[in-house]
Amino acid sequence: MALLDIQNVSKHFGGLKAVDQLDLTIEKGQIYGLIGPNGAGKSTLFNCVAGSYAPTSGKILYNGEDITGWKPWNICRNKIARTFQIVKPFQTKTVLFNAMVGSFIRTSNTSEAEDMAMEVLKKFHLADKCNVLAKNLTIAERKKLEVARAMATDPDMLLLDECMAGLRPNEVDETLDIIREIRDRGVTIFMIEHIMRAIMSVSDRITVIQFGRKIRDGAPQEVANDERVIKAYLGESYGAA
Amino acid sequence: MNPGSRKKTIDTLLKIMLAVFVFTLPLWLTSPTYLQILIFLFLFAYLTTAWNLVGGFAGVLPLGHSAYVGIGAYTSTVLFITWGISPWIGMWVGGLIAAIVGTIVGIPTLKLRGAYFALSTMAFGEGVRVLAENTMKVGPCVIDGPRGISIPLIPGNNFTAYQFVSKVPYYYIILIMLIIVLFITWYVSRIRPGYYLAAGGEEPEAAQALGVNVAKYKVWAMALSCFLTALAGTFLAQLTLYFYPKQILGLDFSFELAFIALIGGRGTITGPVIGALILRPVGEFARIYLSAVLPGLHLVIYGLVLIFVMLFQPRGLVEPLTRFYDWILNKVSGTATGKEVKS
Repeated sequence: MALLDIQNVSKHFGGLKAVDQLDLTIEKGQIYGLIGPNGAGKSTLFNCVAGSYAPTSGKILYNGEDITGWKPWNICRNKIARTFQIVKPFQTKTVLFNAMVGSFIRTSNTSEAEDMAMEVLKKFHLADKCNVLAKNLTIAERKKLEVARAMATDPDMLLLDECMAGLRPNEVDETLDIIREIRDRGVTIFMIEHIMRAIMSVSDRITVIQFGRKIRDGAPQEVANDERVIKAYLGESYGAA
Repeated sequence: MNPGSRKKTIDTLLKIMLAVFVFTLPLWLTSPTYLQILIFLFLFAYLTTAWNLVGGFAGVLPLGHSAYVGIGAYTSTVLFITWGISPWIGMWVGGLIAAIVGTIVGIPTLKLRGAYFALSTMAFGEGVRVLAENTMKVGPCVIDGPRGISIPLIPGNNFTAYQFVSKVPYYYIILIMLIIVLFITWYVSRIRPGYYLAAGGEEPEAAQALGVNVAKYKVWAMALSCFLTALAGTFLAQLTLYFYPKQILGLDFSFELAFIALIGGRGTITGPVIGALILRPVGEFARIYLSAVLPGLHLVIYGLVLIFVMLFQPRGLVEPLTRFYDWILNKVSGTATGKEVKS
C-alpha cells in the first residue's frame, strides 16, 4: 500500500487552478521529487498535503487514512512534518527552543523534550549552537534548523520545500547526505527542489508538474529526457531539438 | 570558591536582600501616601504581568483589559453588598466570570492579526464601560450606572470583609499576589504550553506545522490572564472602597498596562515589574503636581518615554538592565567578562 496517495486533487484560487486534478503516489521509504517551473503549483500541492490549504476537490490518503482537509497540527501529529520554502525560525528564541517546540509533540515533560531536541540537533551538527538565537544563524544554518525542527517531531514522512535553495555547492552536498541519512532511518521524503543536480541524484522517482497538472512522472533519467519536460523548462523551440 | 559560584552566591544574596527589603518596608515606611504609591506600583506590576500572558507570550496586543478589572471589582462588590458574601470568595467568582468572558471574546478575536485584535479588544473594553454606565440594576444587584458603587464601610479591621484601616495589610496582600503571579508566569514559560504560546506568537504558521494548535493555546492564555486580572479588580475595589466605570473600566487603564509592558519588556518575566517601577512613580508625580494643569498628562509622559524606549531599546528596558546587573555581578565576583555574551 502506498504511504501517501494523492487522488485527483485540485486547488483553485478564484479562477486560478493552482493544482488541477493531480494524482500522485509515494511508496514507503522513497525519496520522491516534485519539480516544475515557477508557479507550477508545487508549493500549493505541499500546502494541501500539510493542511495549510484544504483542497477544492479530491482526496489525500496517508497510510490508507483520509487526511483531506485536516488542520496542520493534526497532520503533524499524524507524523507528516514539513519545512517552509522561506524558512520560519522562531527568531528571538534559541536554537534549542526551536527544536523543543518540535519535540514537545512527543512528550509534555520539559527535560525529556530538551533531551530529544539535543539529540536531533547533534545529528544536524547544531548542538554546539543550541544557545544561539535563531536570528543570529547563517542562512545555511537556518535551513538546517528548519529541517532539524521538523525531524524533532519524529515524523514518518518529511515534506521538504526547496531546502537547498540559496546554498553553496558544498552545502548542497552536505544537505543531500543529510536527506539520504534521514531516508535510511526509515523516513519517506517528498521534496520540491529547483537545483536539478541535487534532485536528479537523490530522488528515486520524480513528478513534473506545469500549470497545476502532471506532465510526467518516472525515474529521474526518464523524466530528464522527456520532450514535454524539456519544453516546459526551456520553451517550445527547444522541444524539437 | 571559584568566581562562577561566587557570582551565583552574590546573586542569591542580593535576591534575599531584596525580598527582606520589600517585606520589611512597611515597618519603617509609615507614610500612608508612600505606601499607597507602592501598593499601586505593585498592583500595576501584577496587572501587567497578568496582561503579559496574552500581550507578551501570545504575541498580540490586548487593549481592553480594564474590562476584566471591572468584572472582578463589580462581581465581588455586588455579591458583598447584595448577599453579604465575603470579597475573598467573591474574587474567585469574579475571576471565573472574567475567564469565561475572556474565552468568549478570545475565540473569535484571537484569530485576528496585529492591529485588528488590538482594536477589537479596545472596542470590547469600551463596550463594557458603556454598558456599566447605562445599567442601574441587574435583578437585585445595584450597579448605579455612571455614579459607581461605594462599598459600605465596616468599622475597624475586618479580614472577612477585606477591609483594613491601615494600608499595611493591603501592601502585603498585593505583594504576595505579585509574587504568586510572577511565579505562575515563570512556571508557564517553562512548560509545554509556554513554549507553544511563544512559538505561536512569533511564527504561527511554523508553530502549526510543528503540531501546535496556536488558537487553542492563545485562548487558554487569555482565560488565565483574564482570571488573574479580575482578582486584582477585587483588590482595587477593596483598596479604594469606591469605584465608577470611567475610572475602573476606562481606556487609559488598559493603555497603561500596555505602556508598562512595552517599556519594561514584553514577553519577559521581570519586564512588567521593571516597567511599573519606572513608570508608576513618574505617573504619580505627574498626577499629584501637574494634574491641575493638564489632566491625563501622565499618559502623555508615558507616550514620550515609550517613544524613546522603542527607538533605542525596542525590546524593552529589561534587556539593558539585565546586562547591567550581570556586569555588576561580574565586577563584584571577579568573573571574567565577555564569557557569556554569546547571543
